[in-house]
Amino acid sequence: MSNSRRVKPQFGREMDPCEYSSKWANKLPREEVVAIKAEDSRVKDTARDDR
Amino acid sequence: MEQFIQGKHFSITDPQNVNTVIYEVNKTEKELKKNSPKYTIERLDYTEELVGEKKKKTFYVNEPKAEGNKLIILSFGKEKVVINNGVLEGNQVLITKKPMPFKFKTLYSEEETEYKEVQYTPNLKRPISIIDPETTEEIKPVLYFDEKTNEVKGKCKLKPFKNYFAFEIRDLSDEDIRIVGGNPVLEN
Repeated sequence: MSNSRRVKPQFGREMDPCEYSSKWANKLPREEVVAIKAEDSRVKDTARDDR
Repeated sequence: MEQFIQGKHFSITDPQNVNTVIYEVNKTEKELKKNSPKYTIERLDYTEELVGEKKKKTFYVNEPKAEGNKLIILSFGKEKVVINNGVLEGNQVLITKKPMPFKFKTLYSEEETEYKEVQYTPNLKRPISIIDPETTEEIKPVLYFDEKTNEVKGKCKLKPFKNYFAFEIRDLSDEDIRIVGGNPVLEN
């Protein structure tokens, strides 16, 4: 479950810090997540082209 | 002949005045840890098309993993960012229904302000990403060698009274994620 709380500034005095902590979506009960369809795509493999 | 590998893509639609970027996050392998950051992030490439007044963005994951690809989703609005996470698993991306909004501190200035050079030496073992919420571009520090102190230092250009969003991955496991972020504002 996500939550928010104030924490000590980490990046300098100009910061107004926040903290996000959450279980990964695939570790949560089904009713707490939404599913979006992912489709196959063909990606150019530049590393292989360089060889 | 061009070689291709199989990746995955998925689409989300941004409402007006919202701009979403997505990062894939990974834990560094043990054998590389000594001189590497514990966690790395990589922004997903995307294409976009207008659907009415909304933007449909298609994000690409080049290397889908059997164990799933962990994603951090940042949706920038005018005065806030909404933080969420998702996981690409097979033919679907699971996204939590409980994102966390973080409102920016707003400072006003009547004066026209110019970009200022700010000392910012990145800690390569604990990288911090700084994002301009208006453009969603990352602010990358320029590295230089300081002959007086014999050190490599960094500097970047920030505009006074303008909002930025900075964050780092503090903890990452197969179960959960912890991000510490904030809203640095230069007060001139």
